[in-house]
Amino acid sequence: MKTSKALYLEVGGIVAAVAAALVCGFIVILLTSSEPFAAIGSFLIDPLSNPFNIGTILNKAVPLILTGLSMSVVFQSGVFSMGAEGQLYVGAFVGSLAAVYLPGLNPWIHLPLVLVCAILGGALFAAIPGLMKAYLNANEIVTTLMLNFVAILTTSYLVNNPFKSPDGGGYARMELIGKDILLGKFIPGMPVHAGFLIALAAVAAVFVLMYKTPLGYELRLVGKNGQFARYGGIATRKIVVLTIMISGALAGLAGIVEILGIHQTYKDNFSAGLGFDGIIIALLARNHPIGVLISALLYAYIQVGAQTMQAGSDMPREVAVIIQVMLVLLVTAQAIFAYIRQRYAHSGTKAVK
Amino acid sequence: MEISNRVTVLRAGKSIATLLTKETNREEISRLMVGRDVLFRVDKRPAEPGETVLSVRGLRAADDKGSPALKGVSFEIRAGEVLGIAGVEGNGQTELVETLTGLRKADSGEIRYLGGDLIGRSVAQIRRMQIGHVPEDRQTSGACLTSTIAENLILDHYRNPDFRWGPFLHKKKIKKFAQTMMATFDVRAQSEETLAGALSGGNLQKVVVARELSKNPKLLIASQPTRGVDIGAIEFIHREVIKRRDAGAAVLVVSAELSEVMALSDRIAVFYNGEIAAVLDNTPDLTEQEIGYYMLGIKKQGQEAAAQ
Repeated sequence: MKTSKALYLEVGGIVAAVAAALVCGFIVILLTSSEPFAAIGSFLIDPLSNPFNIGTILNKAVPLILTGLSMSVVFQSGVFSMGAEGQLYVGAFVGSLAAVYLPGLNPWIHLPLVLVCAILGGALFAAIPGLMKAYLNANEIVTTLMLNFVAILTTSYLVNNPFKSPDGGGYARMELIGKDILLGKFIPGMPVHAGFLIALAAVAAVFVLMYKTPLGYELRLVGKNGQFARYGGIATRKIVVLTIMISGALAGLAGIVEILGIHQTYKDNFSAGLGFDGIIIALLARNHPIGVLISALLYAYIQVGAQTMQAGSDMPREVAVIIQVMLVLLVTAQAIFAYIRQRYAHSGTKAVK
Repeated sequence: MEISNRVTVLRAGKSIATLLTKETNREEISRLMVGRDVLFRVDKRPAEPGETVLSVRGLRAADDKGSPALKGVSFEIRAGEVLGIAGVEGNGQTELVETLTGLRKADSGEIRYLGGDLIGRSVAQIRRMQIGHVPEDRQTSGACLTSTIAENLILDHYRNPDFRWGPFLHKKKIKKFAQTMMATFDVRAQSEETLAGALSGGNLQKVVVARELSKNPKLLIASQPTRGVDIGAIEFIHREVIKRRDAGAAVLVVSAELSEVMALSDRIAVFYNGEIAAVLDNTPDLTEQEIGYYMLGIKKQGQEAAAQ
């Protein structure tokens, strides 16, 4: 099989899964709504009907793109980190500290510094489960899920106590971040913030890293066939630590971009599952960065569609949850098929070309 | 022989013969166990051995369970000769190859390669020393089936500045290299972008051999080089191995197929129970039966002869 043919099959399968998930959502609407076609119409069309809604889709897609990239990098290396949520909080917190407590810097220096702090925060926090897996053989699923609690609860404590702004009213948040380093809007009449450009740059960077550099070759090889990588002399332990750190860096970037673009300060519990959404995005994208971009936009579109449907009909926005869950089920089922194909492809007969 | 009434001989997953114990003898059983497969004729000149390339002294190593697999193995291979390792599988051959290539830790002993020491070196370091390794299992260790042929071929070259463009992989040069290798080694596939998993066993093995020979090895270690491969590919791979020998490389061939060892080797070391039972010159009057006695531990050369 040629790679291009494999790609068409893969894309076809994913498109079918997405269509099937949408159909499931529509069936629920048909069965429960008194005006199903108006509901479906406002779900599908309203998100694209005005620049405000389009901008909202793009804004919602920004953190999803970044966490989706974060997960796709570790998944491609065969490491099943579930830690993007915790890394996102740590990165956002460290970045916000740099944003709030280093005032008076030139914004052209300050903003990159804030981003770098968030990236380093996420990467270093991710290094913990990476080192534990590589050198102590600790299961990364367990360690990353546990460390998520450590990250979320520790940052929550800190923003509720020493770093809490007295002006926050009832909310636990830091002091507001200076306007000069917030990610502003860059298209007149559309609410999309400059974080979208950062997300696009990250897609390009991850694509180049994974497919055009020696390191990407090693990362993918370790994920595809660890035994072959060891035979080839690739330092698989180092690669495991490195891949999870790159993933943490992207998660940290997702956190700080969400803070600088939407919240304008570090707020307690601001993410509410963006890191876990990244897992779904990466699965849907088959870990390809371009796929991540498309999947994140689709995911954001479904979320905005649910809101417009709630406003324009008698259906609640929770229908979007049904569609998302169906998407997860169908896409993971597909992943199982792909795994089985890969597993048993070479035990059957092979064509001599 | 002592306790049975009948004896069934199994070879390569097939029942070869069932004999009454009282009507047979050790020699007949060993002949059946070793087999009499078609002997592939390999045209080759007599070896012209040069300097010693690999010298192994008193090598000991454990298997995955920690029990000793190599119990003091010593041998030498010189430039321009093929040393074949014969033996029933599971007598330490796998562990020997893994220890030589850095994949397994040696407990004690000495491995000297062109004057340098290989003990304690990493796989990456050993692969950079012009040592080619065709592993026994091409589908797990020898190739990545979900990668393209090109990606499989550049395993030793992707960090080489010739295949780089700044920090990036040089796609055109990799493509050209892969196409040249595929043409030279007669790999039949649509393109270098074809997934390795779509290749037949013979074509996949040619990819592995091409990669290992592409670094112009001074020492080639080939483990089961033609297992599960079609006859055309067997002949091709045998010719390439001999070509490499004639170009002055030292070659170590490990094979469960005695006929293959006898076709390729200039000298044959027979493994039995983690030791070298004999080192024999592969002269025309050497018979499979003779090797079979050593393989099954019926005969054993004196220690001084084994270390020659």
